[in-house]
Amino acid sequence: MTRQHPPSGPFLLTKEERELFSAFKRWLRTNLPDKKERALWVAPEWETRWHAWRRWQKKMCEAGWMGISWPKEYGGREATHIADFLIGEELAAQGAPHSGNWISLAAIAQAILAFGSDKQKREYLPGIARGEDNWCLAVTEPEAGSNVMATATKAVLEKDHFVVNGRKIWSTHSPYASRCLLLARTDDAARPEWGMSMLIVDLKGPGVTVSPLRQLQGETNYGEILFRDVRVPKENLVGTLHGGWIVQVSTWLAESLPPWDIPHRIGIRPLLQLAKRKVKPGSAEARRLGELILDAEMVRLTAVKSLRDGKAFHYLRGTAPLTKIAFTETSQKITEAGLDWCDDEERALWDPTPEKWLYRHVSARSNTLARAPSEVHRNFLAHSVLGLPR
Amino acid sequence: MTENFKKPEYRANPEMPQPAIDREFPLELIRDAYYLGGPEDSPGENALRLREDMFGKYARLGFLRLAQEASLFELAEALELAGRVLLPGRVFAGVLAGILLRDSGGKRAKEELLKSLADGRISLGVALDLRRPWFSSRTTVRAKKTKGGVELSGSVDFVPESESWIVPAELSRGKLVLVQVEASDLGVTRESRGSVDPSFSLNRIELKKSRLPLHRVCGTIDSAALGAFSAKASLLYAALAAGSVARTVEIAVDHAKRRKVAGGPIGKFQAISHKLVNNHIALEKLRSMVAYAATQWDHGAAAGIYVSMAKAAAERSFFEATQDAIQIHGAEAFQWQHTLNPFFRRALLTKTLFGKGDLHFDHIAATALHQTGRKAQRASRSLEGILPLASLDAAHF
Repeated sequence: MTRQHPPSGPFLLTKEERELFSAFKRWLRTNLPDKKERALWVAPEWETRWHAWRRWQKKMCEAGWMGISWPKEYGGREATHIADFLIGEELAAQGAPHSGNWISLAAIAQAILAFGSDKQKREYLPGIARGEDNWCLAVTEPEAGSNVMATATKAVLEKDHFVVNGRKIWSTHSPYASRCLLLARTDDAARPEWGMSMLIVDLKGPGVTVSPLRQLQGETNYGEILFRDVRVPKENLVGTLHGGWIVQVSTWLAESLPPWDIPHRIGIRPLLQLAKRKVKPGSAEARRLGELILDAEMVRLTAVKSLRDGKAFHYLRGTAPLTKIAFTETSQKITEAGLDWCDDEERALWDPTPEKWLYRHVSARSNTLARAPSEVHRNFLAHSVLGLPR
Repeated sequence: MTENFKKPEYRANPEMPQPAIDREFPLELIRDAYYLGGPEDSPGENALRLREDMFGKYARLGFLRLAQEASLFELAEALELAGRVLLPGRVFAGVLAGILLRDSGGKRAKEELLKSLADGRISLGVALDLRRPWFSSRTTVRAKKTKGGVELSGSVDFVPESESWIVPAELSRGKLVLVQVEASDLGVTRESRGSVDPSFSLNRIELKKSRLPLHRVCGTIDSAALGAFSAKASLLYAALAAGSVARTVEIAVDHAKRRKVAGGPIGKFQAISHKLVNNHIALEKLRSMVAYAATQWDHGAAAGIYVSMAKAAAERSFFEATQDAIQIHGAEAFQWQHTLNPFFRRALLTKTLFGKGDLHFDHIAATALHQTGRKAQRASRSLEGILPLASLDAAHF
C-alpha cells in the first residue's frame, strides 16, 4: 500500500525512545551477571531472590537505568513511560528482574515525586532508586481492607509531631521495609475522605512492631504493622494536612500500572515456550493459546496506549484500573493454562521455584487482590468513568 | 473533507458531548429505513427512500472519498465513528471498492470510477465472499480474454449489497483482473440472500459467460495483493464493530442510570455495573488492537496476525456487549423495534463476516508456534520504530 498520509498513533516510538531502548539493550548484553548469579533470581527461597534482585537493581541504577522517567535533578532521564515499559519488556525477555523494592519504586517514589517536598525528594529518592531503601505502604486495615474511607489509625498533631496509634495489615514488603507511607486519620470531624493525612514513618523507631504473615505460596513478604504512640515529625507529612486522600488515590493508581512491571506480570513468553513443546497446532488447546495470546497482546497494547499520554497522575484515572484488571486477570488465565499443560509432577508436587507453573499459578492468585481487589477497580471505573450511580 | 470523520471520542459516560455523527445519523433513521416491518416483510417505499437518502448523505459528508485520501489508521478512526451509527453495508462496500481501486486500479478507474463513487453517483462494492478470513481469501470467478473485452464465469456468495461491483477474476494462475460489473449486465444474476442484519444485506452474484467490454477492466492484481486487500477490509470491519460496541455500551449505561428499581437506579448494583465495566474494558482493548494493526499496516509491516487479532476481538466484544445490554434492559429489549436490536443483529453477523473467531484463534496460535529463527527476525526488522508484538518477538526463544 502506498501510504498517502503519515499515520499517527500511540504505538510509534519516538527517536528518543528508540535510542534509549537501543542503548539499554547494548548495556544489557554486556552487563548481565554470570550464570551463578542469574540462578539466584529464580532461587526457591524468596529472601535469596530478593537480595539478588536488589544487587541487580543497584547495578542498573549505577548505569542510570532506574527511575528513568524521573526528573534529571533526582537522578532520572526524564524519559517517557513507554521507554520504561520497553526496558521492562526487554528484561522480561532476558529472564531478568527489574528491581527488588518494586513497591517503593511504583508507589512510594511516585507519591513523593508528585506530593513530596523538595527535601523529601532529595532525601529519599536516591536510596529507593538504588534498591537500598525498602519501603511499604501502610494503608489497609483489618476492618477496612481496601475501603480506605474507614481508616481508623489515628495521627494526632501535637506541636511539631504527630502521635500515631493503630494497626495496618497485608502490607506488602513490610517485613523487609525500613520506612512506610502511612495513611492515618487526622481529623475525626471532617468528611471521611477529607480527614486523613499521609505520613512517612520510620519502621525501626520506637512503638512500631512489624509481624510477618505467611501467604498462600508459603512466603512471608507481607505483614501486619502495629503503631503504639509512635512520634512522627511534622515535616514527614506528604502533601497537605488532611489531604491524604488525594495522595492515597494517586499512589494507588500509580501502583496499579508500573510501566516496567507489566511485561513481567503478563507472562505470555514462558507459556509460549511451554506451548511449543506441549500444544499441537489445530487442537482445542491451540485455540486456547490463540485466545490467550490475543488477550495478552491486547492488555499490553492497552497499557502502552495508556502510558503514551502519561503525565503525572492525571492519565491514570480511567486507564490504570482498566489495565490493572485486564492484565491481572489475563495473567491468571495464562498460569492456569500453564498448569494444565505442564507435567503431572510439576502440577502436583510443590516446588517454590518461580519458574514452576504450580508456583506461578499460586503466586498469580494475588494479582487480582494486590493493589486493591478487581472489584474495587471495577467500582472505581463504574463510578468515575462510566458515571454510574453509587 | 475528512474532518467530519476524524477523532472519534468514545463517550464512556453518555453525559459527555455526543459526536456530530450521532446527530447526522440518528438511530431512528436505521430503525425507519430497515426495521419498520418484520424480518420477512419487504421494505416500503418510504424505507427505500430513506436508504437512498442515507447513502447520499454519507457521500455528501465525504465518507466515500475517505478511501482515496486517508491512511489506514485514519480510515479505522472514521469507520469507528461510523460504527456508532451502524454504517449500512452498502456504504461499507463503497469504502472497500474505493480502497481496492486506489491500490490496484488503472488510470481510468482512478479518474472516473473513484470520482463517481466518492460523489455517490454509483453504488459500487467488491465481489468477494466476506465469509472468508483474509488468509484464505480468493476469487471464484474466472476471466477469459475475448475479442474486445473479457468473459467472466463463476459465482460469489456473501457479497454486501450493491448495484455494481469490482469483480476480481482469475485470468491465469495468480494473476487477476479487476472488472467492473453491473447488476443489469447480460449474463449477470444477483440474488438477494437477506441477512440477519437488514442494514447489511448480502447478495449472491452469478456470472454466466458474461461478456464485458475492455473499458470495464479497471485494474490488475495478484493473489497476494488480493489477500492484503481482504486483510485491510477485515481490519476496517473490526474498527466499524468497535464503534458499534461503544454505542451499545453507552446505551446500556444510559439505561442503567435512568431505570429505577426499589427507589434507586439499577446501575448502582454491581451485578449491572460490573457487566458494563467488563464491556468497557473489552472495548478499550479492541480499540488498542485496531489502532495498533492499522499503524503496523501503514508502516508496511506484514500485518496479518494483527488483523486476525482485531477481528477475533471485535467479534467477541461486540457479541458480549449486545448480550449484556439486552439483559440489562430486560424484556423491553426483546422487542423488534428496540434500539438495541440493530446492534444485536450486527453483532450476530460479525460472527460470520471475515472468518469466524475460531479460525483466527487457530491462525494466531499456528503463527506463534511456527514462527522461528529467521522468519521471526525478519518480522522484527520490519517493525522497527513501532512497538513490537511480544508473542511474535518471543517466538524464537
